[in-house]
Parts: sequence; structure tokens; C-alpha cells
Amino acid sequence: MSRIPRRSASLTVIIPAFNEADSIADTIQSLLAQTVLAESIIVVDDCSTDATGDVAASLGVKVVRPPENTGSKAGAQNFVLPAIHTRYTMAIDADTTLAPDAIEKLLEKMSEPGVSAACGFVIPRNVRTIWERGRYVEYMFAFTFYKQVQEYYEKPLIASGCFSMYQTDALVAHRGWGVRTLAEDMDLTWSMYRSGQKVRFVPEAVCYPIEPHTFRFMSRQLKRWSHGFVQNVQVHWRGLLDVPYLRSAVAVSMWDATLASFIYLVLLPLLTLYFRTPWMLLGYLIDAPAVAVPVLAGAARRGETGKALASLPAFFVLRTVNAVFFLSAVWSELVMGRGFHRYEKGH
Amino acid sequence: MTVGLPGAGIGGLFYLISALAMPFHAVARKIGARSRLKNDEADRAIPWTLIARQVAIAAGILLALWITGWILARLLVANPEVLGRAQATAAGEKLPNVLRAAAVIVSLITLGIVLVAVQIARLVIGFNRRSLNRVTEPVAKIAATLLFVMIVPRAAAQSTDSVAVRHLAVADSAFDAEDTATARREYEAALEANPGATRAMYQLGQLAKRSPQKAESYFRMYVRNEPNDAWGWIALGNVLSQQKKFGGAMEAFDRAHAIAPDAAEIAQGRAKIAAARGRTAPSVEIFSGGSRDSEENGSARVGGAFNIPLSDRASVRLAGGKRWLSGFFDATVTEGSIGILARPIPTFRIEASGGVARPHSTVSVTDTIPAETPTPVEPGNGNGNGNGKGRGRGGSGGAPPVGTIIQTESVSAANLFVGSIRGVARKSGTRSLIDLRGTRTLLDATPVLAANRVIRSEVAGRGDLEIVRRVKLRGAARAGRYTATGDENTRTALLGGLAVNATDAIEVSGVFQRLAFSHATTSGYFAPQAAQLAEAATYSEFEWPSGLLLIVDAGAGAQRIQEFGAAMSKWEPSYRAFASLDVPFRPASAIHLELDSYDARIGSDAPSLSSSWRSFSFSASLRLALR
Repeated sequence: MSRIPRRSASLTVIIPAFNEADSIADTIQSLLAQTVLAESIIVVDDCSTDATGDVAASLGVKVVRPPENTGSKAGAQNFVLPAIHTRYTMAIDADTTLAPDAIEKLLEKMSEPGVSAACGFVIPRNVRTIWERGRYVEYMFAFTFYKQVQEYYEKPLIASGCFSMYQTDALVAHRGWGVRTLAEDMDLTWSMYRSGQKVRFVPEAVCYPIEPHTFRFMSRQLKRWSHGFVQNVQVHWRGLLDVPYLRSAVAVSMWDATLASFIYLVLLPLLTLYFRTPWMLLGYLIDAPAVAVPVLAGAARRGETGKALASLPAFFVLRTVNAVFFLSAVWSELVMGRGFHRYEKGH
Repeated sequence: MTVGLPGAGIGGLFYLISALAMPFHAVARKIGARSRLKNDEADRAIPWTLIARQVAIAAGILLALWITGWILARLLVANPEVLGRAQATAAGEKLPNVLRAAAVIVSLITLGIVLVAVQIARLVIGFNRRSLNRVTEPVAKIAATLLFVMIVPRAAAQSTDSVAVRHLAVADSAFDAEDTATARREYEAALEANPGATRAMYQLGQLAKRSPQKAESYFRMYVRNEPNDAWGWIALGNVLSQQKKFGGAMEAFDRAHAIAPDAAEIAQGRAKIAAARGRTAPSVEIFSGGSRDSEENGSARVGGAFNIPLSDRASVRLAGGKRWLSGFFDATVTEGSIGILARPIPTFRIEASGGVARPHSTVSVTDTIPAETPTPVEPGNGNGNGNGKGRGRGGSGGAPPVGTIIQTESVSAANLFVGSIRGVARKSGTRSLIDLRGTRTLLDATPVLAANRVIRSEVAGRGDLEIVRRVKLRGAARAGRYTATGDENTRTALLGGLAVNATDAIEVSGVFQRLAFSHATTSGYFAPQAAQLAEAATYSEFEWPSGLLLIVDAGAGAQRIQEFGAAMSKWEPSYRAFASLDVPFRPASAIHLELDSYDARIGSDAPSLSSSWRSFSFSASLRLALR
């Protein structure tokens, strides 16, 4: 069988990994199967206690191991940043695989003038448990509707840390990924906007991370994301006021997430008790038809309508759980002034 | 990663409107680009496929919302009991429209408020950046804001960041090449172009290390903008430490510790402060002082102490002194104690001490034998009751003749155990604390108290809870037992209030305090049935680069007192003031001066004969490190 010669790009892929022996082989293999190959793939084995490094090395990629655990994904990625000399740098999680043309699609967008970062469409690889299903609906909704609108206005809210590409020069100018917040990808994205750089969303570039499948893992992730978002608002709010559209999107997200969390956790239960009728509990589902429209539109394009319909109820469970973590983060970070900075792996 | 909760609400509405606006926005942008001769933008194809898809999704969402509203309204019409009394006016055919309109109007208004708030914040911050905040009159500010909205093109505000980025890039290169002059100039230019350029603030702080005050101002600016960056707090801590502002430095390291508890630089910074403060060197201390009150009681005191550090976190203190009391008669109190002070972890401090206090008084009474048969008092009966209670009138045998003058001398002396234990825990990174203590103290404000050996054994607790940043709830409680020669009493006290840290150095508080004794006493201490105090106070700590530390604690309020068997008095003014000054002249060696004054009966341990009680005390000490 003849092989079609593939072109390679001036691109280094960083895979930060801590105890990812079960999933990292799939990630590397999907990178090696791309229509455009990376010049270099570096796995940062962040002092794993399993065979992560050995598995990666057996697939022929470069493996580096810091002298001690760097403490966060950002720390692991920054560890190898000084050694990167290619034009582009890409970060991908060790539990994420790519569609075969994902890198090619991102590179097309990265070649446009002024673009410093680009990210792709995220779809959970496994959709089995209630948490994975909830996340599937959330992503399908966000990447089909919100993020595409943000892209039209040239202000995607975030270049997701699980799969994003950067101009190496721009990355170095920002000193890599910041460790001052728990959402290093959001921090970097907003810093780039504040510097006048462009970040783009490429819906055709698809990645498939493994999402938290249990409440334990999901809760860690939700806690980190909620605190990370609030921390980034604290860090960047002044600077964001100069970034059109994004300033409104962030303000609306902050308000909506806080108010909706309050409604789910406080107002609806109180109204139910006050009126003494379960009818008020319909408030948890009142926007189900509105949520279903973009989700089904996105799923239909992928031939996953049945999966989307079956997963829809899980979204409302995840949303209510998320409300607890978001309100807690707002209370802790903004009201009590207590920052949460312990990075816990959870995808 | 997504944030927030996709669904209905203003988030959904925002993106709905954004999507529906896309075709109009695309056309407007194209026309605008042509009119501004921006060929690149004008030539760019409008992404009609994306626009059509998003508009279709938005239309689908609108339809879904309409259907939801319709179904909900039908359900409510069929089950009007859900709305209770409200259904009487809302029910009927109008309900579906009412619900839909109300939901949309409320969401639109909320969205409008949020978006307008963003614009106002942007304008206000913009004003600050351009120093237009010099416009101090509120009316002028509003006028300026409106003018700004109307005439200043939005694009003008957006160019500053790109200028700042260019300066930052040049500055970073110069910094890496150790060309500090260029780096400083470019960072300053970046900061001028974008006052929010935090990296420029940090780097300028680094470059200004030869001028610690300048570095401090840059690092303070940095931590205000990046409060969650431990490195900013560490840098601030180091530069404050360099200026011997140890209190502020410790606070900065505490903030850093709350964010990055494992950072080795924090431990190093704290250790340097401990060494600089001389906590690792033994020291001797001599002190003296005096007091005077409006009841003509006075005191003088001298003493000394020897501090022996066990480590940078613990020390032992041996202290001794003597106090002379004057008033109705004279008395002395000699005391000696041994104590330990430890700070096992940065957020917890414990102090314990124990010792002996020896009150000594001699009361001379001159009496004349009356016509009745007198009973002379045995000299030195030691009843310790210096207020004349020792004079007896019964007795037998050997009675002196009527008219004889008798000199009676009553000597009172005893060794009494006194001691205290106190623990103070602070919540890292906040201003919350809890302070618990147990004390056994000899009251020695007056000779009468000393002669009557009034001992107060008390447990007390105070807590500050930071409820929002800089605002603390304050509460305190005390319960004490008073034992004296032939007298026992109990006191309870409660305090509650609010304290606000106006700045890092100044706290303002308002508290209400109530105390009560179980019964009256003749042992010489102030024991009302109840007393109340409402007070506004301020506590300030000012630290200078030389290490000079000034603390001022002052309060003014109103008090009222209910003596046993009497009604509660009217509210009367009360005042108190305390100030201390530490003048260090070398590490761990300092002169300490202290002033304390009261114009408030509730502040006194002694009884007051008049409706007011004033006191003033002064002390000075010299602490000398032995290496």
C-alpha cells in the first residue's frame, strides 16, 4: 500500500502529562495520524508515578521530565517553552485525541495576519455517564451557538487549554501560561486580547477529550473552572474594558452564571415552598426547548441526534451542580477574598 | 472550557441578540470599511453561511421560547391555584401574552443594565487613566461622562494597548540583555500608554530595587491589579523588609502564603525579618512609668526583664518589678514572673506566664479612747483591710484611760499567684482572628485594691470575622471572678460591633459593650450592677522606613451606669486614648513610649466618688539586644 507523503509544519506540540499512561498513547497516535505533521512532539512527564513516560517514549516522541512536579498544567507547559524554536506551538491534553485534519485546519487560520492563537471544537470522546452526557450537551450548545457567535465578532471567550495553537513568539512574549489563576488558558487568551492580538475559533478543527466520568472528577473540574473564571475576571477586568464585545460577553457571563446559580439553588426552592406546589420546580427545565435547538442542530450535523436527545436531561443535572461550585467560587473569591489556587487534575 | 450556564436568562438573550444582529453588523462593517478606505476589510467576504446558520439557530430558540411560554401559560390557566391570589388578575386569555412579555421585558432590562454598567465602568476607568479624575465635582464628572459618550470616538481608546505592547516587547528585550536604562524607559512608556500593564509595574519594581520606596510603590500597584499573584506579594514583602517595615512585610508574606503556601521564598523572607527584628538575640529591658487618676490615686513603677530567644519562633521572658501606690494610704506591689511567647505557625501565637505578686501595705490609724470601754486592735492583725475596718471597740482588761491616744498600725502582706495564658489565631490572608485568654491578676490600680488583695480570675475571648473584604464583625465576651479579703463577686461582659479597615493602616470601629456584676462590693473596685458603653473608635498603625512604629488607639462614645439599688444613669460622654511609639536604634534594640488615658468610669477598676473618672498613665522602656 503506498503512503501519501504528508507535509509537516514548523510546529511543536506540548503534551503535559501526569499519570496518563492509559490515555496518552491515543493522543500521540492521533497526532502522528494528522494530515499535517508537527515538527516535534514533546511529552512533559510531570513526575508521573505510572508508566506515562515509558508509553510516550515507546511511540517515538520526545519525553522530558522536570526534576519535580511543576504543580499545574501551566507549569508543565512552561517547563519546555524555552526549548521551542518552531513558529507555532500547540498544547494538547494527554487525554485528548484529534480529528485527522484538526492541525491542518488550525494552521490555516493561524496563517491569517495578526492571529496569535486558535482553538477548535471540543466534543467529549466518551458519552456514557450522566456527567459525560451533561458535558456533551453543554459543549454541543456552546460550540454550536455561543462560540460561533463569539467567533463572528472575533472574540472567542477562550482558547481551550485542551487543544489550542499559538504563535510561539506571542506565547513567549506573554511568558507562557500564567500560574496566577486556575484557568491558565483563559488568562492567556484574555492577555492576548488586551495586547491587541487575535484569537480565533475554528469549528472544523475537532478534538475529543475524555471528560470526567464520575462526580469526584467532575467536582474537581467544576471547582477549578469556576474559581479560574472568577480569578480571571479579578485579574483582567480593567484591561477587558478596552476589548470590544469581550467586555460585554464576560460581564454577561459573570452576571448570568451568578444570578442563575442563585435562582437554581435559592429562589426556586423558596418559591416551591412558598407556593407549596411542585410546579415551581419546572423552573429548572424551563429553557429546555431553547437549549435543545442548538444542541440538536449541532448533533444533527454530526449524525448524533439520538445521542443528544438521550443526553439532554443530564445537562440540567450538571447545570444545577455547576451552580453550587460557581456560587461557592464567587463567595470565596469575591466576597471573602479567599483565593483557591490548588491545581487538581480533573481533565 | 465554557463558563456560566448556557440557557435562558440574559446570557442567552445576549447571544440571541448578537446572532440576530450579525447580518446587519456584517453589512454595516463592509460599508464602513469602504467609506474608511480600508480595502482589506472591505474585500473580505461576508461569512454568510455562518451568519445564516446562527440566525437560524437564534430564530429556532425564539420559537422554542414562544412555545414554552404558550405551554406554560396554558398549564397555569388550567391550574390557577398555582399562582394563588395573583391568578385573579392574571388568569384568562391574557395570561400567555402577559407571561411572555414580562419575561422578555425583565430579561431585556437586566441585560441593558449590565451592558450600560460595563460602559460606565469603561468610561470611569478611562477617565482615571487619563487623569481626568482630577475633575472632582460630581456634577462636572457626570457632564464630562456624557460629553465623552457623545463626542469621543470609540476607536481612540483602543489604540493604547497596542502601543503598550510595543513598548513592553522592547523593554523585555532590553531587560533580558541587562540594558536596565532602556528597559526602565520602555516599561515606563508602556505603563504610560496602558496604566493597566501589570508586567511593566512588576518589572519597574524589580528595576527600582536601589530605591526601595519607588519599588514599593510599583509592587503595591502590581498587587492591587494582580491580587492573586503570590510573587507580587513576595516582592512587596521583600522590599518592605528591606525598608525595615516589618509589620507590612509580614502581612505581605502572609498574603503570599495564602496563595502559594509552599513557596520557599516566603519562609526565607519571614526568616530574614525575624533575624532583622532580633528575635534570635537575647535582650534586656528596663522600664518605668507612673499614673495618676482624678481620685488622687497615683503610682510609680520600675522593673526589668530578660528575654531569651529559644528560636526565631519562641522566647522566654523573665520579668520583675516594683510598684508604689499612693492614695488614702500607701502600698507597694512587688512582682516577678516567667513567661513564654511562641509562634509555632505564622498564623498562631501563644503566650503564657506565671509568677508571684506581693502586695504590701501599712495602715496607721490614730484614735482616742472614748468614755466607753475600748478594745484595742492587735497591731499587725493582717486583716488587710486598709479602709478602717480593722478598728474594734469591744475587749477586756488593761484598758487605757479615757482620752488616751492610740496609734494603730495594720500591716498586710501576702504572696499571691498570678498568671495568664493567651492564644491568638489569625486566618491567613484575611483580617479574621480569634483571641482567647485566661488571666489571674492582682488589681493594683489603688492602694485599697492592693491592700484588700483583690484578685480577678477571668476568661475572655474576642473574635474578628471578615465578612466582606476590609469589613469585620467583632464580638467579645468575658467572665471573671473577683476574690478579695472577705468578698467574692462575678463580672460578665459582652461586646459586639463592626470594624472597617479604611486603609491597611487605619481601622475604624463601632462597638456596644455591656458589663454587669453580681453584687456590690466594699473591697475597693468599681462594681456597678450594669454598665453600657457605645463607642466609635479608631486604631492606627504607622510604620516608617526607619522602623519607627506609632500606634494610636482612640475612642469616643457614651456610657451609662446603674449602681446597685439605683436607676440607670443618663448617657454621659466617655473618651479614651492610647498611643505607643517604638523607636528602634539598632536590630532588636528600641525605646518604647506609651501613653494611656481615660475619661470614662467604665474604663476603671477603681470606684469613683464622682460621676466622672479620669486617669492618665505613662511608661517608658529601653530594650537592648545583647549581640
